Amino acid sequence: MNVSGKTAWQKMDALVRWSGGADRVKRDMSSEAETGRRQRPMRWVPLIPMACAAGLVAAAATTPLSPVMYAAVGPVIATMAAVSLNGPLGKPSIEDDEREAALRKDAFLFCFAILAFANMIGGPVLMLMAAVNAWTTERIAGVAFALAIGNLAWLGSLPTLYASWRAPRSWVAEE
Amino acid sequence: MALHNRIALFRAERNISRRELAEAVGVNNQTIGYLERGDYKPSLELAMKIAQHFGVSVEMLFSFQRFESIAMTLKRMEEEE
Repeated sequence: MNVSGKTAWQKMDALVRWSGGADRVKRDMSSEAETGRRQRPMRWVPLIPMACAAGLVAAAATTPLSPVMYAAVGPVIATMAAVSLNGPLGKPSIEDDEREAALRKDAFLFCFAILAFANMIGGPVLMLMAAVNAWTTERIAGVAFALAIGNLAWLGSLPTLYASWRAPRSWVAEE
Repeated sequence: MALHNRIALFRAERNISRRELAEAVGVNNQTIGYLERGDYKPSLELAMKIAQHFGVSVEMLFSFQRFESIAMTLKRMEEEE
């Protein structure tokens, strides 16, 4: 107990209530939970965070970036989260039926294959660049951070992109 | 190989909405739309659940060959009589 009269746990509880997360969980878990939530195909929007992330990695690999540039990737992550939540795979997987489960599996398999291939090629290339150009520790740390952001952005966006293009063009709002 | 179905026909004939059918067989109502348009091939379990819901055999609902149109069926029945 401290001077404010609240323990750290009570403060954390208050913070969760303030964020609205507690209400959201209560609403989703209730028997009257909204079932009409609809995720729309997003055929182009996921390309924005993916392009930004690829640009960041390329920029970090070619020139030393200032910390401000790394701070500027925050909106990229926010866009990726919005894309992921509002796309065809945005709903909780526990609610998936067999079609949605198959789509989710295919989308993430495709994404992991692409990321594995990109990292297999990109990893050794970056190691060679670091050795040849005698990068400083700060530079290597910057590139590693950019790579982590890049992988995260692609992991959040590429499955949505895949699932959106798998949806038929004649996709129409159901009753 | 294309899998044709008559889910929409049976649903219209029984006056059942997509949502009602989806709830009965335990899938999202969008999945029923995908099935009706032929954009998704159901598992054997789902196909049998749908057939059971309509009280018909799976072959009545799903076929690798195109189903005969209602007009053709009526014409053939007239000719048989």
